[in-house]
Amino acid sequence: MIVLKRCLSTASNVKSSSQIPLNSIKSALLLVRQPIVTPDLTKFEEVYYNYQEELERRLMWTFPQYYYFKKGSLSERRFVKAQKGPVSKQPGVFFQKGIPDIVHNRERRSKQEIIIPKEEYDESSSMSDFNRPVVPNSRITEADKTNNVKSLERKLPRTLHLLIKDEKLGWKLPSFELSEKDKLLHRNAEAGMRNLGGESINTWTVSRKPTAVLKYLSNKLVDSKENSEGLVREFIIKSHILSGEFSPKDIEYAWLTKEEIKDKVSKEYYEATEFLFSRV
Amino acid sequence: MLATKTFGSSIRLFSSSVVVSGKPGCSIVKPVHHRIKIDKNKLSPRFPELNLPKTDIRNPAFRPTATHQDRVQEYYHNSVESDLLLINVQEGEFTQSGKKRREWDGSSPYHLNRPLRKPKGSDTETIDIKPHTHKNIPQIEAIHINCYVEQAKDNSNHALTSLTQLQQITGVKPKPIFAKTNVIHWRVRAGFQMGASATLKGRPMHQFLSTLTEVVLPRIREYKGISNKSGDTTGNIQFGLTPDDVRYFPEIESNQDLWPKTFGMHFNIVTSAQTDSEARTLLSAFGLPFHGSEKGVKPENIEY
Amino acid sequence: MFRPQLIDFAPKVLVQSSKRFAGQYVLDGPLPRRPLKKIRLGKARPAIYYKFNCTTEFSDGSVVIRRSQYPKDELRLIQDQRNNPLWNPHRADLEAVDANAGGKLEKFKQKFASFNVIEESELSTEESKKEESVAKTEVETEVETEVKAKDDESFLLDDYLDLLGQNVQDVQKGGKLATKQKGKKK
Repeated sequence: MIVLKRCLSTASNVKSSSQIPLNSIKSALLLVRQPIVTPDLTKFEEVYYNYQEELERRLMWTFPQYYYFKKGSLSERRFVKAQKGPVSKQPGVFFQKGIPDIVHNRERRSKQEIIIPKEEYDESSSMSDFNRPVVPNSRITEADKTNNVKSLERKLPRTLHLLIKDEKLGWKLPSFELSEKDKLLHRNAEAGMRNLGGESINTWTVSRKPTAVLKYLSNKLVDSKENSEGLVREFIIKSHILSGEFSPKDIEYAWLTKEEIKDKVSKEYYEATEFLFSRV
Repeated sequence: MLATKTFGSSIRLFSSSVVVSGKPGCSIVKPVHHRIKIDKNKLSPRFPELNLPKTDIRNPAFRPTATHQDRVQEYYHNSVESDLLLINVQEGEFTQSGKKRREWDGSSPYHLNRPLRKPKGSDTETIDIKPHTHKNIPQIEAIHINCYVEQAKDNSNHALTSLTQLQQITGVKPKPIFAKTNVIHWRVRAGFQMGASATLKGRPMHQFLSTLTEVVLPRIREYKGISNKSGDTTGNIQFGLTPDDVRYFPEIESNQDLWPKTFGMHFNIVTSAQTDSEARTLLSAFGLPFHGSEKGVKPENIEY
Repeated sequence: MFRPQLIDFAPKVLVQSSKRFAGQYVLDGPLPRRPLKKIRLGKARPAIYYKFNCTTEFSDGSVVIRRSQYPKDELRLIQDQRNNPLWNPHRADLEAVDANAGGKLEKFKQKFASFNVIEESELSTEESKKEESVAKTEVETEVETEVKAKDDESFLLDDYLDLLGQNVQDVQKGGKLATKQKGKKK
């Protein structure tokens, strides 16, 4: 087979990169806040996990008390005192719930329940801060109650995405013009976001490669297969917010979950970008 | 190559005598010697429940696995997976074949039936690097823990203690390890019980990994991270803990007086990543820090 | 399960267990290697150890549930990933969390804080030496007086050092001493 090579003297039909105008390319940023707490369980999952756990508790081996508590020690005495002993078998007695089957102080016909002895929590003692009982914080925050979409502390079990309101195009991902100085897409997106929302933000850009491209023809979103003259391409760079705050001065913005985005943005925009947003 | 082909067609290979003679691969005269081993326990009518799959609750070996929400797995699915795909995928990728064993050129009749030549510039074969797609996003498959106790050669009780230690910190049943051969310099003889090993998968693995990264490693004094030079080139990362580091596991720390002696151990994190650097990217998402320069990568050449 | 504490000082001969009544074994000595009760064919169960759901609170207040064999259902961690500078490089306030965290020099200083007099004196003598070499030509007289004064100090210190040197035993400094190799028993 003969390979045709373009000689130096011929001109190519394809436009070289220098001929593409810089204002036909834009960088956009998909800024994501990761879930902070574990996802909410559905009713079915809850029941399923509960069933499996109870099954495991039933199949568990007897708790080896002799291993953790030295015989005759104070801790052993406290532990033994806290336990509810099983009902032992007596000759000539009728047991309503069946004849007990006890080995190693354990009722073998059911799961073993171990009670851990606890000291009374004294708030006034000097160690009160360290000894206080472990109570998890609420999964619903102030921002959830007031429905403050500008707060990063809302919807803790969900992924949040940053959207801003554009005067012409409505709610969309923030996008930035490329400048001659800052041609790299990912750097341009990061710099643009900092210009918009201030320096007090710590982000991590996932990759230099864009996750998606949106095509605009005279400020209107067009199909991704469209390939006509005068297209403006918007390359979306993915980034995570790690700490800090996005606090722009005169732009409307919101941290939204996938369902909320669907309600906010236009139908065409959601169809084009749906796959970018996290389900959880 | 051409030469071997002609040999193959004209001269009968020694290995293919059965095929040439037109006989089946196994004897048909009784007693039949089966190629496939038959587990005669399964034929016994005494334990019908043992023939059920282990996931069946009637099998005595049944154990429930999905007993609670697995936050590490959910974090991987919801947050890590999509990012890893974006990081790893390249435009216009194709399968890069690894170093493979080569055929002899057939210039000599002695090349027939000779084992294949070693790969070029390497003693062993290397794997093919396939294009990155949504189907082969790397994930952690297992953690192998190996706890070899040197002192066990003098006092076999140390080997038992190491078993208990591993059982306590992992929550799975460890297996004892034995010396395979006599090593005269170490005064070790084949058959000595020399420590413990365990393979973690699923929920126990995820809990162990999170305990390691959230509790144990941050408490080690002057901890820098796993060396960037660690790894076996196929996406598995190795590192170790000293006997003092092991004391930071909550199970051992809350029971200090029961543990006058602890044992260090080695970890091998098996991932489905194709290269070590991909595996490191994966593990760093789970909070394992890395330090030092990476092989073949100069820090001044990395552009952000 | 074995008690490592017992095992370390265990006698070489295992004491046989005695059977007191049906189904219960009482151990008189260290635990034997094999289970006493014979597990019948087809009756072996997988090892599902008794585990507690231990609610663990990290230093930043986040709570997770760990499944642990240790009989404890609440655990509060003071030092963990959430307040370690290696995992939180963007936080400047974390450097001084661990008072003991520091290099070898820090540890040395803590240990020998009471001896800092020597350190200072050494430093000052070094300084004086430097001064000597640099400024000898310019102001000879002044330097000489200074050096004299410092010599007095070091003289005083020498008394203490002499005390420290009592009961000194020679310490082997590096390298293995050649020892006679034991021959094999025949």
